[in-house]
Amino acid sequence: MPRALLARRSLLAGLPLLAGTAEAAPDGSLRRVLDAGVIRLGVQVEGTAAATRSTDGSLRGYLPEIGHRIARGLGVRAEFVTVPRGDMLGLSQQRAFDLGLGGAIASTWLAMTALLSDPIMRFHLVVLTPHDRPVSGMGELATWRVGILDGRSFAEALREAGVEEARTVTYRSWEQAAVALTRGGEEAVIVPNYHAREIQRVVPRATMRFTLGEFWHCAMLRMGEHDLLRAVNVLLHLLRQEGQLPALHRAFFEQDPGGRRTL
Amino acid sequence: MTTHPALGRRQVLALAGVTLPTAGARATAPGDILRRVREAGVVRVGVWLEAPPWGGFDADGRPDGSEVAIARLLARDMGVGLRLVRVTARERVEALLQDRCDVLAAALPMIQPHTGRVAFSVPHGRVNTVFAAPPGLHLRSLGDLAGLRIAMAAGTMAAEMAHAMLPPGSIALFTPGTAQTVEALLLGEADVAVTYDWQLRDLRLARPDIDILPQLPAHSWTYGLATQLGQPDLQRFLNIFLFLRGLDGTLADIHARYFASPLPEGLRFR
Repeated sequence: MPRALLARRSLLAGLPLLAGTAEAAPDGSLRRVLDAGVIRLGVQVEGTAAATRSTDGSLRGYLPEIGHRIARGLGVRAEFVTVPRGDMLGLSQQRAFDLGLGGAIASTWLAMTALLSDPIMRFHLVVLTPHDRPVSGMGELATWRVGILDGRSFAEALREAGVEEARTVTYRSWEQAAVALTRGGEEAVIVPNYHAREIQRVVPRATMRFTLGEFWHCAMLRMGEHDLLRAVNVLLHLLRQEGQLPALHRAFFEQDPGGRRTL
Repeated sequence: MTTHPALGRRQVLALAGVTLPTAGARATAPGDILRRVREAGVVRVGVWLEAPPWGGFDADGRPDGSEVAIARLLARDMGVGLRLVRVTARERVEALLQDRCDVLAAALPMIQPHTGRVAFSVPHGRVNTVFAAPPGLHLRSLGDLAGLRIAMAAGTMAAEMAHAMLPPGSIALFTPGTAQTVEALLLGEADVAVTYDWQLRDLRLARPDIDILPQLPAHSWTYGLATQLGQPDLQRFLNIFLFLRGLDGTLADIHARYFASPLPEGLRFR
């Protein structure tokens, strides 16, 4: 039996039991995905544990794994749309994909313009400097050139962490940030810990100095698409409950995704 | 083709709600309120200013209180201006339904009939009411209240709920406010006061010489921010807002400032 039919059978079986839980009229977002038989997933592919492209051209990493599981849960096929850094919100609003994975750091700024799922991924912002340039706190970086990654969502996270944009220079990728670190001088970069790991792989003299707190990536949807949001949140809840999400998070990032994360 | 049991369960749960007509669909909503707030550049938050420490006035006569602090935080996080809309306890829900405010930050209990009339965020506070009395009076059960004079603040949820619990023979004394319930006890006009756990804590800190103990739990309820029904974008925003401010400790700071105690267990995000 085709998977889509199985999903519809499951839906019919589930409706009588769950009729009391719905809070709003259907908005068509989930129906659109089910009818298409495919969910288009926007992913930033940046050569990190979050998402990378393997030699055969397929996507690998934590976010594609989560994407495949969400698609399987819905009974549809996953189709990945590669999103350049900083373009996740814009392309979401242009309907380039149904669900953005990664590139959406939970913030009230983003929540004013997009729907955010329950958190899918935890990370820390870390400060890297060359090994011979130790630094122990943001105050010491006042006169430094501080490299950060591009993207409004990332900028908001930095703002939350108390980093002033005026002292920063923006890079489009962790590779550019790595190059900046190799130049030496008064240079530090602030990146997510999973980017830092890649930077340290190519620039072994780059040293993690301190963190600026923990942050969460959420899946991102367009405003109004609550049917799809509810479905995604239920699936994330089950993935957490069954231990799949924590196991994947530990496997790719060597850290736990955190405790209760259901809104 | 077969399907994995876990997958089947996932599909059943995830797909529930796809086509269901619901309560939200029946409500008449004034369009998308979150969008309206964004475009107007101002959020109107309903606050109850006769209920310190949730809402009241500071020494300079400015609105103050834990819910007022949350309203200010909300506007800041939305990146818009704040207009406080003063509401009384009785008109809190009506103020929302009549679209006089966009969000209610007025310690509205998450209980029926409110839950059927407005949409709540995740809870961000809890109220515990108790029957308090001097240690000389040993209250072991509600039955021990028979024959006693019980002071309670008229028109409050605490009084409404406590009154319904009183055994036959007890005498309910309605006072104009929560402060007067304790006063009645101190003046010997009442034997027992229906009050809040935080109020007794405050009293202990301010007047250690006064010995009044919480003797029997009365009721406990949570409260949250409220919106009109049919505003899922706004509701989602509020949940993200509370989640993030819970994580960074801001909600705990507000609670500590106004209630002199940690955020209750179960309302913390970490």
